[in-house]
Amino acid sequence: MDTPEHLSRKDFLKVGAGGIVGVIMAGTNPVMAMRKIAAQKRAKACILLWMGGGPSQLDTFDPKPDTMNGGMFKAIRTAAKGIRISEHLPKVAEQMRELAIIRSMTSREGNHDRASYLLHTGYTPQATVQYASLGAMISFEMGDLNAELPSFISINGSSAGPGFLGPRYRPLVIGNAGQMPGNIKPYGINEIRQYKRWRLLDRFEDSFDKRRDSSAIVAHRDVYEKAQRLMESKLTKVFDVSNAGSKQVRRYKLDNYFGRGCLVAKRLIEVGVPFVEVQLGGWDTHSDVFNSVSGLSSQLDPAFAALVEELRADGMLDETLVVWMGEFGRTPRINERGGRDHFPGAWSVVMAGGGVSGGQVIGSTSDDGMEVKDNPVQVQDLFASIGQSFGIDPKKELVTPEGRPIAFAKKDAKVIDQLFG
Amino acid sequence: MLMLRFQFISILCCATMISGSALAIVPEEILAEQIDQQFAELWKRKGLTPSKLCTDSEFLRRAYLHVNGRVPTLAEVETFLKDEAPDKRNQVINALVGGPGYAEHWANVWTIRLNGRQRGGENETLFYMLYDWFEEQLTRNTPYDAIAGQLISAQGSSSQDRSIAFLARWSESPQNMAGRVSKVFLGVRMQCAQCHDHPYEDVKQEEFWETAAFFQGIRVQRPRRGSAPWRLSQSGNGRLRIPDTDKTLSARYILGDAPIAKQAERRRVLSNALTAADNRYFSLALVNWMWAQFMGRGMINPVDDMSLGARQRPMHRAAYNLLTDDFIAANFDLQRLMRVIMKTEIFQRSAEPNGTNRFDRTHLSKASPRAMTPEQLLNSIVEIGGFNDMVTNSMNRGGTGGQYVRRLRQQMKTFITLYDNDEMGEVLDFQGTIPQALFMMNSDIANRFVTYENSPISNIAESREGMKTRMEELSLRILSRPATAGERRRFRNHVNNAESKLQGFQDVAWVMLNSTEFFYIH
Repeated sequence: MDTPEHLSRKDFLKVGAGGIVGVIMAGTNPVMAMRKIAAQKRAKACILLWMGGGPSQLDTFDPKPDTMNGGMFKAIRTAAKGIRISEHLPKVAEQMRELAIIRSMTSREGNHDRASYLLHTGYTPQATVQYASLGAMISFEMGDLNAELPSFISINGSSAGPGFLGPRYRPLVIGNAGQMPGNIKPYGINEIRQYKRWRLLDRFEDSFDKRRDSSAIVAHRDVYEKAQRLMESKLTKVFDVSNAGSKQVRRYKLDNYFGRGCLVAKRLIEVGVPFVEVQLGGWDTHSDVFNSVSGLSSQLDPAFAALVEELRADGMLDETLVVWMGEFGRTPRINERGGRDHFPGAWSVVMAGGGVSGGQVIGSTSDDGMEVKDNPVQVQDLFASIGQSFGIDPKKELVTPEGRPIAFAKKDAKVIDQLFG
Repeated sequence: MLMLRFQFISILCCATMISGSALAIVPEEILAEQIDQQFAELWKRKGLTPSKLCTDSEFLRRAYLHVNGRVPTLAEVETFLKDEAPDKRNQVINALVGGPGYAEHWANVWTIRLNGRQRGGENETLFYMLYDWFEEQLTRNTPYDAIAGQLISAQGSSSQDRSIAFLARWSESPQNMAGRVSKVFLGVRMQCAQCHDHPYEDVKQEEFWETAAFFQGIRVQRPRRGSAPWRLSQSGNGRLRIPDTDKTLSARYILGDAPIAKQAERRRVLSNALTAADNRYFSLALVNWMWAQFMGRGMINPVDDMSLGARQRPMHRAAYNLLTDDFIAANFDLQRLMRVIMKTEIFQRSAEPNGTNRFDRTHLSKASPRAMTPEQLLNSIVEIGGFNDMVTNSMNRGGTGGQYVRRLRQQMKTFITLYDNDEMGEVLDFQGTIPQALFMMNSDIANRFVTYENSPISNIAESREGMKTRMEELSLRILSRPATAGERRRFRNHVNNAESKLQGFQDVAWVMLNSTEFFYIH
């Protein structure tokens, strides 16, 4: 990645937000640099399936039936020998040869906001630095700022911000999965009049810019440019799933928003978007965990399985890293309301594609689920491994506008070698 | 609570001793000057020359957006620009704060602060319930200690007391309520001490649970029908077990020596201790938050997680203490605090940098342009577009104006979701998003006001006045300032070349509405 262009990007970053603009105008394209080393199985894109609220590991990917904390669900066999998962994920079970389950995730943040931040950025919140989310970092590394579609798209929820990378790497948030973005067509005017308006606006903005000095104002114009590019793009048709074949309707279960989100994510990857997050919320199951999780599983199972299966069938899985996770796990002990509470001590993350060897389990938890038994994986290790999948040196540093270097993952982070073994 | 040990507090407490004599109430203008002086010294030390004061137009727009949540009307702009009184800015501040429109907008700001922006279902019911309660308190200018005390200790039926809508929103667990209370009223996020000792500060896990125990045993009864009252009650003994341990703790106010509170009204114990005048942290947190509302950043940052900022020395601590002392001495008067902040020159600086302060982001030697909140943006569109007049006209004709009101509420809801800020919580710095830009360019509501019959814009287009006057009116109406000669020329050319005058003016209005200048408070 240390092409001359890239070094100049870094240098520009050092001079602050105005500098970022300079680089972008110069039109460097890190994707070109990346393609050169794409001979190995390397991810070029990532789909993050975000389970907001914190999914219960014991009732999904780390089942312990017939134990005190095991709960009501049975465990079923999967396509990978010796691996069992919840009975409510039968289709995902069929794809298990592509999936690696990390059962030994461990962190210290049990508050939704802080943990979501941690799992989105790799860092706990600090007063002095706004860390960049994974989506922003991947789109910084892999994306093309001049592409028709934004390089970071978040479906069904807002993901986390771009932090020090700046508003150019902010996600486009799609609230109505499966439909065209709202207000994408001009209101009651023809194209000629629209262009005249845009031109008049540009001239007006020029004179305002001259009088002010603010990166925020630069960002505003950039947002308008992107919005106008989006209005003109033919690629936006991928957002509309009403034309999906009956097979896909069934497979992804397009009658629910997570299914539609997964199909749109796959299509976005196909047209070159490097990072898509699809959210499925509702995992904060303080009460009635079993009913809730079986309901959520009926949305998760078909869509997750269809996504992995189609990516593989289309030859895209090697270059697409799929990550399934939430902000933490849930307490093994079942509370008096039949629920499970926040539990960052020992929980699960699932990965597929992007060079990850499927059909394996990494780490394990004790019989009561209360602690990690072996191979503990910290959030930083997870981020280093995601970087590894993209061929990004985890120690690679990005520089904040204040000149402070931030590593993709910290020095002591360890890539989980077993994932790629 | 527990904040005695916070570093920022100890720094501030030292300073208080020095400025401790400032307890007599001074006129607002004098206090504002004292604060300006403190900043002037800071700038001098840092080698910064402050930017000049902003123009009258900029000031008026800023003042209206901050206090009333909308841009000023054409008449308000014209009156102010013509006014030659030397203290006209202070007069406007005095009239705005506490005037019509203040309570309406700030009830919204407060409700978002307490209950979050997230709408729909129960959240929405509780949001409007709390909104109504706040509107009443702010109209009466209820002192802040009474407001906070009521919110923390509220119980009973919502038909008697709508302030229960705050705790009801977070009633899922005692931890949730305690976390929210400490975040809002002390500027500290305690919740990370839930599972382990606080990673940065000396907050023990046990102390978190002792605080949470005040909220143990709270029960919320939801109404079966939408309009029936909610009920919040509390029983139990104020004891909580830390999950997955054998430790059981009692409610205890951990800042001082207040006794263990077992009785059902234990939240009264908490709220009395928390809002007492000798608990300086309570006022420090509020002043910091209020300052940030107007200046774009707090004295200590982040505003809702001041303990994180503890290691930053508050650079403006003398000014911070002056404001805090005055807030306490003036009996927690929110309106006075607001007026003092607005009367400082710091609030009235231009955003235009000079040679020395181009890169100043933290010392407020220039204003930093800030995007409007979604509420400010939509309220401004409503004002400029004459939608309020539409509602009034409909009522005058014997209608209810209902369809417009419904439409606006619906649009407001959609509009807010276009901002992708995390957790839809309280955010100071909204930055535009692509969906929001698409909304401004192409949505029904943002375009309707330039197109509907008898809208202010079509009236301007069809008026018999000269081109110059009409351009002037459009610019004052949307941007609160006279158009420059260059703009007038460009816009006139555009209108003359358009298919019709009406279309030409519509385009110009559209451009102003979509401009950076409109979108930002500058």
